[in-house]
Amino acid sequence: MTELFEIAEQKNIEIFVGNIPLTGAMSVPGYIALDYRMVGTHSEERSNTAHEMGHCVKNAFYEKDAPRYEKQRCENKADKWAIETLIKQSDLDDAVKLGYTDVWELSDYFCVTYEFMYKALWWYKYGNLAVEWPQT
Amino acid sequence: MYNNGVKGVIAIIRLKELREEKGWSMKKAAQELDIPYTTYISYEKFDNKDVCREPNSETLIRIADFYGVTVDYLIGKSDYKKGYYQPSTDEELKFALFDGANVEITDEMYDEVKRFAAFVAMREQDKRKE
Repeated sequence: MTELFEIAEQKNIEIFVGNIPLTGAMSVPGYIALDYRMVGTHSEERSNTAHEMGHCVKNAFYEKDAPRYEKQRCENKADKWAIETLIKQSDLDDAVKLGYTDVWELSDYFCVTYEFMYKALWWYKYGNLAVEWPQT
Repeated sequence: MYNNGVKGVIAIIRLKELREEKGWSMKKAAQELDIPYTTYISYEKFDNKDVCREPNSETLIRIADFYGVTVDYLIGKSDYKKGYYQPSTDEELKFALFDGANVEITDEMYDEVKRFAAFVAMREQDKRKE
């Protein structure tokens, strides 16, 4: 988390962990709020904080009644920033060379959630975030 | 350049918008601001190189104080009227929720967002007092 906190300080972004049970996590310009339940594990804390920071750094916010495509555009901007901040392409290549080839292994290696890792792999492979999730 | 005015001229790009919020004509606004009518027009028509005129700093500050906004907001350098994030209407409140594109925002969730925004606004005010 140290690198995220350092970036937050540089960018003048404040992070609060509190009780926001209905939304779970949110951001407004310059501020992030995370609910306790969103930061259960270290990988969740890193992934979710990076994503919310992406909204602040990229100024990717919307109004309540914004159309879905506009909200998705903002979510994608936040995701791209978070992915490229936590998992650099070169680091991913190195991890694969070390033998980490499964999504779970990679998510453990980078200390991010499975969903975050899957999105990252999709982003680096296809260059978009129109992720097709595996059937469970 | 952030203000889209004529090159080299500081433009009060939000002057028209602020006047229209009050529902005033240009003549009424000029009277309220104690600015000659033709001068006022030259400020609003900031993108017309034939008529635009650059306000001096004293006028800029007077207009900003009159409308309760910052000079930065007047000239388009900031999007926040008070110079910091302090939404006063639902239209001004911009936010992002986790996985927001796939979540239907209920009134209760939006109330939670507004409570956080209010907290943020108070914090910004406190920072400025320090």
